[in-house]
Amino acid sequence: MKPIVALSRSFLILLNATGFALLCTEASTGQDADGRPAPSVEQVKFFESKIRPVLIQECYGCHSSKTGNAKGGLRLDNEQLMHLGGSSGPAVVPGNVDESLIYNAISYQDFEMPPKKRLSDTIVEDFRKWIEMGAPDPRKTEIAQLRSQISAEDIAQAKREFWAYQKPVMPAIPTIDDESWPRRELDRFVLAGLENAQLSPVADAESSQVLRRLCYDLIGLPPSREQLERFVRAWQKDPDHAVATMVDELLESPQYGERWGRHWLDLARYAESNGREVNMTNPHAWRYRDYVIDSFNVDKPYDRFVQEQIAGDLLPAKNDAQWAQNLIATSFLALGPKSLSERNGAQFAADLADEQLDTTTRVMLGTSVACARCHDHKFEPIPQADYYALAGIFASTETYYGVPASQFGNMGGVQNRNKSNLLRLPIEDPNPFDKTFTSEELEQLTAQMNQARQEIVESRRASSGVGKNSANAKLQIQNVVRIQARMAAISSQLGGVDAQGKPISYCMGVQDRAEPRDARMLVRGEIDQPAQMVPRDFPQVLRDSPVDIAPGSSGRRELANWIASQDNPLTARVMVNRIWQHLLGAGLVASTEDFGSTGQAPSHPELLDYLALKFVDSGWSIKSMIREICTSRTYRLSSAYDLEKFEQDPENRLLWRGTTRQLDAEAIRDSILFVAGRLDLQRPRASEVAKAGYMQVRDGSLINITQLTAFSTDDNGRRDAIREIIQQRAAENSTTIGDRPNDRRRRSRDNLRGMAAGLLNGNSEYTDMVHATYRSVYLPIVRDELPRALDVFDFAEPSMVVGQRETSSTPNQALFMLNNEFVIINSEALAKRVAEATSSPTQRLEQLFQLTYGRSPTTAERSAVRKFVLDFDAHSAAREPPLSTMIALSQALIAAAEFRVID
Amino acid sequence: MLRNLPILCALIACISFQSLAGAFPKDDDPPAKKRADVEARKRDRVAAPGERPKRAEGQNGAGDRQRGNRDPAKMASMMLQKFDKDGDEKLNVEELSAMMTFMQERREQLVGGAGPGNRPRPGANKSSDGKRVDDNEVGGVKPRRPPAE
Repeated sequence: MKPIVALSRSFLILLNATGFALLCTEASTGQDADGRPAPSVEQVKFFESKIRPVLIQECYGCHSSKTGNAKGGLRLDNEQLMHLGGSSGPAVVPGNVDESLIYNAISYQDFEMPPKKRLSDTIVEDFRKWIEMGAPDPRKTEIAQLRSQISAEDIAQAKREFWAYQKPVMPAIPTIDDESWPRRELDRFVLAGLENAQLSPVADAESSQVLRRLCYDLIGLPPSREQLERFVRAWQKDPDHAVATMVDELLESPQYGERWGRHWLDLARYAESNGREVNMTNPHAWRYRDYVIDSFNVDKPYDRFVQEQIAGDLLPAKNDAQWAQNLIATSFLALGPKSLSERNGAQFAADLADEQLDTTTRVMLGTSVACARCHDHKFEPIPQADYYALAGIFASTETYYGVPASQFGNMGGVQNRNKSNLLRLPIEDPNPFDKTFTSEELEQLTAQMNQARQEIVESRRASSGVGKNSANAKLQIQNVVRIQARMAAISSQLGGVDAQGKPISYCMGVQDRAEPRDARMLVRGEIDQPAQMVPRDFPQVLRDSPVDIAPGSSGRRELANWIASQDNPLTARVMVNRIWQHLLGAGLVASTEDFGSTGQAPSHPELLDYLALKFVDSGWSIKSMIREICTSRTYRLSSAYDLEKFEQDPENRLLWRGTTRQLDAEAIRDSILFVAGRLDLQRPRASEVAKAGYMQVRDGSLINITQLTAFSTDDNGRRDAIREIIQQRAAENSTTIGDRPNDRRRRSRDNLRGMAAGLLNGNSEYTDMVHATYRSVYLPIVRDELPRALDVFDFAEPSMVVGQRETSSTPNQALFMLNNEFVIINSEALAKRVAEATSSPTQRLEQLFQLTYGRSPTTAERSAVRKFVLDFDAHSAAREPPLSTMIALSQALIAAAEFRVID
Repeated sequence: MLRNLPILCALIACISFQSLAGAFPKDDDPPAKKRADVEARKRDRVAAPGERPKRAEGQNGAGDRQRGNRDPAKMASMMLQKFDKDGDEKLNVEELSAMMTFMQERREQLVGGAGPGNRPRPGANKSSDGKRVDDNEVGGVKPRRPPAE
């Protein structure tokens, strides 16, 4: 045996040398799919002999596709997935032992793998060497090569034939029979369509109806008595001039931006909290709200408005103030809901990019590119590759949406596995509710943190050595969670100030990553099934040639320029359509977020193109377009019903009459305050969410108990502090508890939150904001916890892109009008306002109708009111009804349908 | 690569044979070396598939992973191995200080915070490409200044 073994050994040495030499020749000149040098022979040998056996034996059981396990989202059975890592991050970073979590785990540092038995030092050392040499790994994933079913010819054909993918062309102004009817050129398009269908428009609406329409459409408020009288007089002389003058007046009003800014906030899914399972507040989101309102008020060109929100951080700025506004604008990309408890970091990042991509393309281009995340778009010529081409731009962007870090790190909440920092503004404009701390207070908070850390250590020590399911262990876990929540609140306070205790100014927003990169396609959108890389680009059907992205940049600047370009076939059309929809009740393209083949075709395609080009020519001025539409004949058509016309065009697509519309939630609430004489037109600074600070919202409460009791050193101190807060709030709010179910009184007195919530006597801490008198656009918008006054009247779902709100008529709305404290308070104020103005019952009735409906009561209504008064209160037989009857009457007028309808 | 395939196949076969041949002790190796080899293989040996490591007294599976339930003797052995730099099988003042510092830093990281000079737990706040994002930048992230208009 010995000679044969010896001979074999020599032969093998010779053969190995030859073979390895050949391998070296092949391997050392090659590169892998990611462009890295292919491993050398020695490196492969090292891997095969030292690393792979260990992985197979110790790791694959829980981290490989063969066993179907991927604990912690981690797979270790191929190179790409080891680099991708799991929920904690990449398992291997070639050349970097410190960043390679697999080394951390097998050396039993912060992780301990394998869990049952530590590997020997020699093996751990082998892994270290392997990582340092670049982690050579011949286990290349069979990268799927996804092929699209959508060919270049399909895309080219769609560009040639489908209307939305062709640039707008100025149409010829149509000839019409009735030249006396139009007031604007757009009227000629409308009339031409009606005449072609042998229809004619109805008469104009009454002057009071036109004014009411203009006021609600432009500023979201009813006309004042003075405005009504002035307008009616002017209308009698010259209706066109009256309308034009009033439009100009309303467009100059600051309330215009609040009204039209809110339309944009619906699209931008604006909210002041994250929503979903971890509903953390965003105390700096209000800056974006104010940015949008101000942008509309100054009539910022729409192309610029778009560019700022996509790439404001990259735009030149003439000074720090402008730079700050540009940064705040990028909150548009940071506002979306996120799965903060997602364990897999790669999944979270992919979902974030997807949300940003979807919002941007649907809002600004009316195109659902995100439908191509998992497969080719089913209906549009958008291959899956195009989705990932665009996703690469967003994946190369760092998004900041969380809480400022303190010297203790970034603590974003106990369940928050995807924490984030905030952008520091280059100007001093802190959140007005951020406290300035003295040095003693800073020391106290720091001491609180250190004490809390010690408490956690002690809790963990107390819970160890006993069964994990024991009552003591569970109590200690709860204790740890509570302490961590407290630490997160204190850390957010410390992070909000500088070393001198002065508040720092922050905003949400984005920045380019240090190393932008293309995205890899994913089979069926699955994060662990990578396919080929795709260069960053725009959807082919929407652009003429591949985009040229500047080196080292994400491509967002290029994306912003492309969307805002007048050569983009969709941008102007989509925005003009939205403006039309808000003024006329429905867009020329009814599907405002879908200009694709499954959306609605435009009812007036030439008119759409005409308006789009006019919009661009005006310098992308939204006010100009609003003026154009509001001064048209089409806008002031009556909503009168006509059977013959209705039978021919029941949906009014040809615009033969005006559309009766229900007021939206903000207009209803603002109108109630307006008629009661309690509406405060002053913009409040920041928001209630900013006041509450960083916290997790539950049960509609914005009381940040942890923050309010931060200086209490123990539970007794915290209870005393809460008692004081409750007494103070109770003194501020003497009204009864609102209509929200209140079973919190039944909670244990040991539950600090329950005690606080249960003993509250007012609703000001709840997101309902019953006592707030500012405009509804400034109410706190907390996902899943909307103010009831908004929620019940079809407010836009703040987690979604909403171009057009739904309109419903439900018993809840009627019950709200009858029972809600907000309505009752303001009905009382309306009654008192009228009672103080005049003592005559007839005059009071007249005033009530003028204030609520802008008109005098009819004879039938006077009779009905007389009957109501007599029935409601026996004392009504007296000359002056008691106040309670007036209040009831006021409430009845507010609750009636006419109050909530634009005719 | 394809033209070298026959040679590569032969090579793979040889390597396999070679590994097999190497499993047997070489008869002409001195006994001391044989003993050393066996000891080395024992140290390097990982649990064979299906084999469960012997559980020391007091171990109870998942509870082992909790620090309080570790075998103190094992822990002491690990600490000695890690911090005994001069190899005298005991910790002098310097080595003991290093060990205490290490334990303190680990404790601080475990409670979820990072004191001054400590970095947060690896893997936390990492972007999907493995690079650490600036989530822990105190005072917020300072944005890059754009070009002047």
